[in-house]
Amino acid sequence: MICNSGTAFRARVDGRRLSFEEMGIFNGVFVMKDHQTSTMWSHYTGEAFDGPLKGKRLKWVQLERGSAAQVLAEHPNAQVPKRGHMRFRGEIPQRDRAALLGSDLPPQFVPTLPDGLAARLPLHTHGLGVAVGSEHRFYPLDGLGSSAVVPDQIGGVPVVVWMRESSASAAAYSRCVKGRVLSFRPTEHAGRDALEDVQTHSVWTATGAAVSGPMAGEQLTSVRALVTDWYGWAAYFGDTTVWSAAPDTP
Amino acid sequence: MLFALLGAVAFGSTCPDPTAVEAATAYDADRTWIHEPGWFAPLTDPDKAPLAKQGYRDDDAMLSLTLGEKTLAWPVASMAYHHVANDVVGDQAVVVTY
Repeated sequence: MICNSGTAFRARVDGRRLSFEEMGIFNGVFVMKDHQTSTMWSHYTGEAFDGPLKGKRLKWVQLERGSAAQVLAEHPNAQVPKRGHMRFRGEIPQRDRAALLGSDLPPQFVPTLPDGLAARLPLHTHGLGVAVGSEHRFYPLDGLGSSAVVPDQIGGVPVVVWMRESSASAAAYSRCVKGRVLSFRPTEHAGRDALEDVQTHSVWTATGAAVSGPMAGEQLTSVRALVTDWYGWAAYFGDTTVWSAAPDTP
Repeated sequence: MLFALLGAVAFGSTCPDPTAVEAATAYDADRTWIHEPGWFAPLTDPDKAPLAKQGYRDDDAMLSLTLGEKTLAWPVASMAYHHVANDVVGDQAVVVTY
């Protein structure tokens, strides 16, 4: 597994549905071409880089990453493509990721990257990249710990970064609800990781929905965030800060 | 209490838009490697089935997308091959990438 970055976008531009396929590499992650206009797009940001739709941007949709059990717990009626319609490729087991840290990328990838990315972090450092406005921050997941709840502020927006149950499942939400800034601590709901806000003691599930307390019925707003490896994030967002107990400077 | 009051004062009754992204990538065609079409077939509008009845293990990694009342999931092990899924969730055309 190389790119390790999942994203989703609405696939309609100027009223027309577009369909895509992978076509190559830029900044260490893939670019895709739409079948309708042959425009080349970033799978990382949804920007049209080259072709008739150059300058357009696909609308971001927050993609969740988690286990099948997590998906079913939160969405019991979730559907999936039938097995016979998909092909599968084995993933590198998590235990083998350590052996990859700092390792070379495939030879086609290297010339697509800007220089110097490994000076700050090993290229394959796994983390959550968060973008708000013009500000970007990378949260190395190994440094967060399981069930971590991290309050922060990015691009003028108070956010909470939350790692749930497994290192591959992380999300970021705005902590502002109806003009009120909340702070959160980890709790459980129906046997699964959840958040409790300190101000009202309402309980919020993994989908960002408040299910009990005075805030019941409210919904946290997702911040644009993706689980990714350092090299792709740093290549796209060279000004990114890296979260630690106190954020550093680029 | 003080923190909440300060937040309410700072943002009034509304919150700043957390989804705004201002950065535009400085694309460099000379740093782009393009291959022939067809290396990885995208997954486009396949037939669906309930996730609960497809025999996945609890810890199988999934990507999932929820729009309205509809949730569609894709096994990471399959997206690592296809890289792109073109599909519709609810009534919204989407592209999911990995």
